[in-house]
Amino acid sequence: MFMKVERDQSRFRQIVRGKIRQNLRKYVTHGEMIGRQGRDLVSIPIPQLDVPHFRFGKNGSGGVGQGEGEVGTPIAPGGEEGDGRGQAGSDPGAHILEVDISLEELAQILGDELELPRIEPKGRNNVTQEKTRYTSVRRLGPESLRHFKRTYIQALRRQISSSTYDLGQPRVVPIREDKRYRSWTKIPQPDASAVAIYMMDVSGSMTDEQKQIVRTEAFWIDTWLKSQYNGLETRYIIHDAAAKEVDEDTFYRTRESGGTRISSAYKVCTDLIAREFPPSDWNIYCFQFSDGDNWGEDNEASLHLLREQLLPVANLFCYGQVESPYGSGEYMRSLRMGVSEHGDKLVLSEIRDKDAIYDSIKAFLGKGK
Amino acid sequence: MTLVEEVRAALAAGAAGQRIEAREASQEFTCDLAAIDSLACAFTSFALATDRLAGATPDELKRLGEKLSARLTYLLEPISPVEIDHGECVVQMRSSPPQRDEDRTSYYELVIRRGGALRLCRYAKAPGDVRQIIPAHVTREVFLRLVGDFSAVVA
Repeated sequence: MFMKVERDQSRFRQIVRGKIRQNLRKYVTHGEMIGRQGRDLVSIPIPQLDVPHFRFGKNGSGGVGQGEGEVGTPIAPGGEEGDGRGQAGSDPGAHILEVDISLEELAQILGDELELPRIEPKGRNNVTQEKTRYTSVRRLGPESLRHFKRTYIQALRRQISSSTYDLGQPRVVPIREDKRYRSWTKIPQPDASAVAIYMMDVSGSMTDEQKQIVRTEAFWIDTWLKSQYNGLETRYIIHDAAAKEVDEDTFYRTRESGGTRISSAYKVCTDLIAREFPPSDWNIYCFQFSDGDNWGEDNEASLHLLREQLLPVANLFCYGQVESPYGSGEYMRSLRMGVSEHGDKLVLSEIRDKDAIYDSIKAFLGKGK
Repeated sequence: MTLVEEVRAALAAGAAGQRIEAREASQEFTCDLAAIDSLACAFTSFALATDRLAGATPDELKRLGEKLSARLTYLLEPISPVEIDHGECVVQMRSSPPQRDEDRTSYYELVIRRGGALRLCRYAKAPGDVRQIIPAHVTREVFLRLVGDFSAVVA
């Protein structure tokens, strides 16, 4: 019996995974799972997954189901016409089915669909640590790991098959052979340290819509990087004409009206790396998002900091230019023309709208660095 | 002669491709004309310099921007402050919303700097291209009204 339930569960998870895979672009684009995120799980709405259910007709309303019927008799005649008025209902509406999926599973689906290469870490990647997972059941083990449900099911089976089970006195007593124990497998994982530093332009020209795009993209980048590194550190920097390090919530909600000086964010980022993340031990990922409307005279200072301070120490420096109502700015063009050394570490992506997030993630994470 | 009268006289003698200049007390006006006829003209740059804003604070410049924003209601696109750089003391104002056509986005940009420089230009940006200054087309009446409003808010 329990085998069948497990099989059904496994089949259900397969269907769910298939649905997520099918609609991944939509989930990525609309950011539907953001805000539904728990510690390790996210809830994903799957409206397309129909669970079969009975629908009741109207009793005594005639039709073929209510007697002999003749040729031409409608199968289910409609009820009497209403007057088209009525008040809004107070009952809850139909809910979209939500399923929980682990962030790790989500990262795997993302990696498969975007064909993302595994990241090759630098630093202490020769040291591995083992992660323990309870994935199977065995006949031997310590009592502290005894699987009560499985043990009693096994005992019940034995009693039924040996005709010792008494329906009048339904006592199930496990013997030694019935006992089942949880068992673990050890998964070796390289112990590499990684930090993702997100920088966002919050100047007056960045709208809420643009910040939502950044938020969605950062969620997926985080999900992927976390699947590649144990205990990924994340840091957030916002800037207009001045920059500061902030927490995640402030990062997404702040809107300033100052001018745009990208060099201020680079300066804070450089200081942060020097203070907390020695490049010899850390895999450093920088993700910068702006509408590219940098105040002209600041471009040279920004490029200098990028070339001399950030690119030499970062595994990857990703710049996403989110299109503002005034069209994308010119910072991306400056980057294309102004960075030649360490150019393989620099990934540029133009994000015109929500639909471009999917390809942007692929561009950023497709290098496997 | 007031600044508007000076500019009217200069405009009467102006030709496409010419820079027209006018001065009144502490105000100095310059404009690069791209085209002109009996009814209207087009400019690529419209600037007013004054020493009255030499020691202005960012907040004073912002208030000046808001005054201009309230006056410039006849350009078909409302112009309002978008970014204020407190360090450099610069206020950047733009059309909000900008004009979105199928192949490009165009908008006015008015930059007010400490030291007393106000400069109005019209930009166009096609996807993938650098933004470019394009001629802003206005009737002669609107042109002179612009001069009057710029002059009045900094006076």
